[in-house]
Amino acid sequence: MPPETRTARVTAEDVAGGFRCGDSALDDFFARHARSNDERGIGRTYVWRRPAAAPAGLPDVLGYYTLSMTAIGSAFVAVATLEKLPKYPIPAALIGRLAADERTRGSGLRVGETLLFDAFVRVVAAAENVGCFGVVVDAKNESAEAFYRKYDFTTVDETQWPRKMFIAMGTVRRMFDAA
Amino acid sequence: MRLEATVPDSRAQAVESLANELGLSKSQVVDEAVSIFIQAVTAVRGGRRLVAVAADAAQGPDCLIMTPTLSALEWTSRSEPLQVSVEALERVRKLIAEPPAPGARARAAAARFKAGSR
Repeated sequence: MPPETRTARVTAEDVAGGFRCGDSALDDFFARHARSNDERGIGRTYVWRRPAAAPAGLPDVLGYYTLSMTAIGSAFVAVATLEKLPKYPIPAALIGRLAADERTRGSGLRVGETLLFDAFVRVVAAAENVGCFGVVVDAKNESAEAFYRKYDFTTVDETQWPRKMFIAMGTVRRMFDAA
Repeated sequence: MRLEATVPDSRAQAVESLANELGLSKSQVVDEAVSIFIQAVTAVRGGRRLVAVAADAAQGPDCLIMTPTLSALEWTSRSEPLQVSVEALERVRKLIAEPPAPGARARAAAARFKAGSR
C-alpha cells in the first residue's frame, strides 16, 4: 500500500492565508498565479495545510509545490550522436516550485522534505497510468541544489542556473520499497 | 464475464450495504461504479472535470469530485517540452537505464514520510 499524501489542491482560502517563504518570486507565484494556473490546468499546486496537532503559531499553509509533466529532449540531438540517444523526448514529472513558509523553520516538521516525498508519492501513482521516467527539478541556487542532492537528485546540467536536476523513477520506487 | 478484485475491507462493506440499501446485487453496484469511473476517465482525458452540481443554492456550492487516479490523469494531461544539452540528455538516459540505489538519507526520509502517513 503506497503512503498517503498529506497535501491537497490549492484553494482561494489557502491563497488568502498569507504564505511567505522569504523568496519574493515564490511568494508572488503563490499569491497571484498558483490558483489560476491550477484552474487552467497549466500545473497543479498542492498545499500542506497546518495539521490540527501542529504547534500553535504556525501558518495555515505550511508549504506548497507545483507539479506538471514535461518531455525532456535536446534540440542538438539531430546533429549529435543520434544513434546513442532516444529518438523521442523522455516524459518526466516536473516539480517547478517547492517552498516552505519561513515560520515553519525550527518547528521540526521538515516541511521541505515532506513536500518532496508527497510529490514522489503522487508521481509514483501517476507513473502507473502514464509514461514517466523520473522527476525533474529546477534548483534555483546552491542551497536548493544541496537540498535536492541530499535526496539523490543528480545535477544533469551544470552550465547554468537554475540547475536542472533529475532522479529516475527506479530510484524513487526503491526509496519507498526499502523504507 | 466474471471479475475478481482486491479492495480494502471498508470498500467491500460499502458495496454490500449499498446493495442492501438500494435493492441491487453487488454486481450491479460494481457495474455502475465502473461505468461512472470509465465516464470520468474519458471526461478528464478530454480536459473536463467531474463536479456534483447542487440542485438548489441552499445545498451549498458545487463540489469537485476527485480521486488519486483522476487527479494524476489531470495533471499529466499537459506536457511542456524541456530542452537540455546533449550531455544532460545522455546523463538522464543513463540514470533511467541504471537507476542508482537510494542513499541512506533518502531511505530514512522515505521511512519518516511513511511513518507519518500511518
